[in-house]
This record gives sequence, C-alpha cells and structure tokens, in this order.
Amino acid sequence: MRYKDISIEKIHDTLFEIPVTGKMQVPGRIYASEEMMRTIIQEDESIQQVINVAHLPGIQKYSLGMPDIHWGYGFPIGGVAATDINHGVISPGGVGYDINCGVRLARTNLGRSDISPKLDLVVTKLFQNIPTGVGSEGAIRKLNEREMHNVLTKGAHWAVEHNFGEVSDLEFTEEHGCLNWADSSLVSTRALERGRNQLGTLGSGNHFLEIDVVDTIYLTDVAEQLGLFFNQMVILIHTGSRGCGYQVCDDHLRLLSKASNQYGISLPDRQLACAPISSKEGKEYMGAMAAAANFAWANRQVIMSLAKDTLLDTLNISPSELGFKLVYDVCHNIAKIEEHRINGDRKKVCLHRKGATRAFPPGSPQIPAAYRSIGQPVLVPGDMGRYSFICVGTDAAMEETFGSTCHGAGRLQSRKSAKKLGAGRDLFAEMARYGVTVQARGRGTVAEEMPYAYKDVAAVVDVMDKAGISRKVARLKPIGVIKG
Amino acid sequence: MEHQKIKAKFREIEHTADVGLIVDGNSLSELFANAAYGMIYLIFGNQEAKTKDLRYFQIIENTTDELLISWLSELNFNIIVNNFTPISIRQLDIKKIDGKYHLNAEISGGSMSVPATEIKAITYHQFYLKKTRHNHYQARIIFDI
Repeated sequence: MRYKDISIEKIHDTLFEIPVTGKMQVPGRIYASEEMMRTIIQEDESIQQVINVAHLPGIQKYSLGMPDIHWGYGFPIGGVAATDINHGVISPGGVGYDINCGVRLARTNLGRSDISPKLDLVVTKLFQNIPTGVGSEGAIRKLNEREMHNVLTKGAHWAVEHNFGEVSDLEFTEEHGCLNWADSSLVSTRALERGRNQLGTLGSGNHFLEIDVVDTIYLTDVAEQLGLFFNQMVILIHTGSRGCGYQVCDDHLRLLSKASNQYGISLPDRQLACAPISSKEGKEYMGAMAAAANFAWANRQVIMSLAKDTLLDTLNISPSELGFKLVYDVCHNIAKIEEHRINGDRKKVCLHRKGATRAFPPGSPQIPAAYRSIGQPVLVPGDMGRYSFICVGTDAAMEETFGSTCHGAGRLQSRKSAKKLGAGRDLFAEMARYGVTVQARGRGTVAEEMPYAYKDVAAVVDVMDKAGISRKVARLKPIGVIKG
Repeated sequence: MEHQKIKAKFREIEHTADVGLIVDGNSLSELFANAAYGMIYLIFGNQEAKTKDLRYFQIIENTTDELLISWLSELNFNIIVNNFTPISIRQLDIKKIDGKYHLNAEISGGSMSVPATEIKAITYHQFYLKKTRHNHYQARIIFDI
C-alpha cells in the first residue's frame, strides 16, 4: 500500500506502519483494517498529519493513529504521541480546541420496560433542565471570577462540594476529576469570560446526553463487574470544557507559534505549534490546559447530577429504586504526564491524546480499585441512531499504544452535505424509526448529526478488539437523545 | 470606507467536521469586511438584527495572516461574550506602520437571538490569504465548530 511516494508496511491485519523518511524522528503506526486504510489514504490528509507529528522533537516510539483517525488541526483526530519530558515538546494541536472533551456513563437499576412508558416525558424534561446548544447558559448561575478559579482548580471536586453528585463519583472519574497541576492564574480573562455562564451546559455540535439501553453483552463477567446487565437503562454524556477550553487553546496556540520560532523548532505545519515541555511557554500551556480540563470534569459532573435529579422527579421514584451510579468518566482530548515502558526502561512522557481514550490494563493503580481486575472502562460513542460501545483497556495497549485506544466513529458526511441530505425530510420521524426520541434546539443540528452522517463505530471498536488493544464489553442502543 | 453586507463576497466550502469560507475582496480591507460578514452568516444564517450600538476595534499584528485570524477571533468573542454582532462595518482601514499591520474598524451592531452555530475558534488549518491579481485578494478560512 502506498501513500504519495511512501510504501506503507502491513504489520498485521489491523496495524500499518509508515517508515521514517526525511526528518521524521520515529515511524508512524495506524491501527485500521486494510479497507479502512485505503479509505483513510483516499479521503483526507490524516496520514500526512501522522507523518508531521513524527517530526516533533522528543517524540517516542511511534506517531500513532487510531482507527477513527481523521483530519484535525495540526495533529489528526485519533492521534496519540508521547514526548520526552526533558527533551520533548508539548503542542496544543495534540490536545485540540475542546480540552478534555470526554464521555461519562452512569448506570441505573431500571430496565427498558421501566423507562419506555415515560420516555418522551423524560427526554423533554432532560431537555428543559440541561441547557444545550450554542451560547446556552448554565442551569447554575453565572460564576464570578473567584468561583471560576475554584472550578478551574478543583474540577469535579468543586461540583461535588456544591452538591452536584456524590463524593464516590470522583473515584470513578479519570484522574479523580482533577489535574492537580492546573494553574488557573494562567487562564486568560477572555477564557474566564467565555466559561463563566457555561458550566452545566452541553453545547452544540456532536455533544449530547443520551438515554441508552444495554442491548448486547460480549464479556459477561466484566459487564457484571461494571454493574451492567442486559436491557439496563444507562445515561451517556458527551461534552467538554466549552468556551473556556476553546479560548485556552486559541490563546496558547498563538503564544506557542511564536515560541516554536524562538526555540528554533522547525515544523511542517504551523498548527503543530509547540514548545519544550520544560520551557516557560510549555509550562504555561500545561497549567492553563489542565485548568480547562478541570472545567470539563466539573461540567460533566454537574450535567450528570442534573440528569439524575430529572430522572428522580419525572419518574417519581426513590434514589434507591433509581440506583443511579457513575460507571466511569474518560477524557479523549488531553495531554498528561504519564510513565510508560520505552525500550525496556520506565520513562516519564507527555502523552498527547487527541480523539483518543486512555485504556489502562488490569492492575493499573490509576484505575478504581473496583475495576482493577478487569481494566479501565473505555467509552466509545457512535452516532445517535445506532449504538455506542463500552470496552476495557489491556496490557497490549500499554505495550503498543501508551495505554490508548479509539474514541468514536468519525464523520462520513460534512456538516453541509449532511444538511443537504436532510432537506425536506422529517428527521425526527426517521429517528423515531430508529427507536430514538430526539429533542434538539435546532433542526440543523439534527440534520448534521443524523446516523447517515457518521461512519459505523462498530468497525472502529472491532479493529481495536482484534488488535487486542481494548476489549468489547457491551453495546448500548440509544432510545432518547438531547442535543444542542 | 463603508463595506456593505449586501455586496459581501464569500462562499461556504465543504469540510468534513467543520465549516470553511473562501472570501474575496478588491482590497485588503474589503476582504476583511467580507470575511466578517461570512463568519456572521455561518453563525446566524440570514437572521437580521437592529443596529443598537457603535463600537470601535483596533488590532495590531505582525502579518496580514495573523491580522485576519485575530480580527475574526475578536468579533467571535464579542458575539459570544458581549452579545454584540456586527451588522454594518462602517469603516475598516488597514495600514502598515513600523513593520506591523494596524486594523481600525468602526462597526454598528446589535444582538441576535439564537445563533445556529457556535464557532470554537478560527484556525490556520488550510488557511491562505493572498493577492490573486492586481487589487484582488482571496482568503480561505476554516472554522472549528
């Protein structure tokens, strides 16, 4: 298989390697089926972006692409790169604009038959109680500057302290819902302003809150450990750091593009702007990015709590009958300092995961004690009509991908062409035929987000399952969706 | 010089996950005005608002590329945070002074009701700003949404 004048080597059925050429520091590796690879090569420039990332100073082992790889800004979406903390760089393009965009899954004691009679009402109430859409304002009052700094410092802990959820939720959130090296003083006034009235909001685009039912279980023992059972009603939330994170990324991309020149770093794409991790600019980005990540964890914690209250009120049942419990919360746009085995030695690296999910194996001290025998839960949302997947991380992920796996389906249609395809159609009725009740602020968003606009996420998780990187545990079928 | 929205030259381009514009102008300042009108079209569609307010903007950058990205970012911030959407760009001048590009603009605007699209950021992805022929400029801008 060839890309431009480069010969791509097939390592095995689900892994392809791009050899080192020119100034690449390491090879590129992409997890995909052969059919997917052909599509990836044809459809966009994400292969070139894997190659570009391989040029970053201090990059270790491989520039990696997950099977949901597609064209992003600087890094591809679905890109993973580890850089040496002493001699390597950090790049905002390796995190993305929506810092700590992520997914959270909560389970209930309810089955499909418990929710079905009241589904439409529940979806309406969720839509009323959880602000969605562009510029939506939080269900909680606009935060003052001091409170914003507290949110940015404490993350999900701030939400729990303010009665949004339980202390035990923190145990089931990646990094316990807070990066303790966040420095809110490095977040610009503009980023504070953009976030002040957005805590507890879903936002627009592909962000959502779904009611799903568990419709397939692949690994019974693991599903049981996660508290999942067939036909169970669960809640899936996908959102991030809202305007605060977008502005932090924008601010620091500008600063780091100047810093790249200053440190003499030659880049094949200016959106790969970066600085040494140990430099002033690198440390400042890390501190501000971590603060925005904390905002995202607080945001998902607040939204989950609003969803729980809505279910209790609307279904008129007790908390013990509802049995609402956070299964796990993962981020898929982040940079973190982690320790990995590289060429036989344990080494601290700056792990960039952009559109990629941490997938730590059984036994990892970073995952909840309750899951230590099964591995870290990985949440992979699909489109709003078909299905999403719950997986767990493996030892192979730690060996091959710095403990990382895929994060979603990836778009098939551009937003514009999806809207064109949806013109003149009753999209809400079409979703009803999928068995899904949808409430959204605008018809345009529904058109952009219809199942036909997305690739089949099953093919993505199957590649990582076959490669042994993450194992499929269960499949979720959406029955109710709210969107911006 | 006043830049009329009705004459704005921009067209939306396909981008898988986001949205983009190709913008034309018979001068640099006209291109900047058209880019602003194009971005507002992406956010609000054909919604109309009544002019309520007059605001002045000054931006200084090292290059015209940086100036265009900063200009659109500034307007996007004002739309999101200050609920001020430009309706008419009454004056927009770009001058090079001591090696830096200075943009001064006088804009009348107001508040719109519900934006259709939220722009996270104006990116350098596939970006270009070039003089295509005598007195004609073109830019391509991809917006992260």
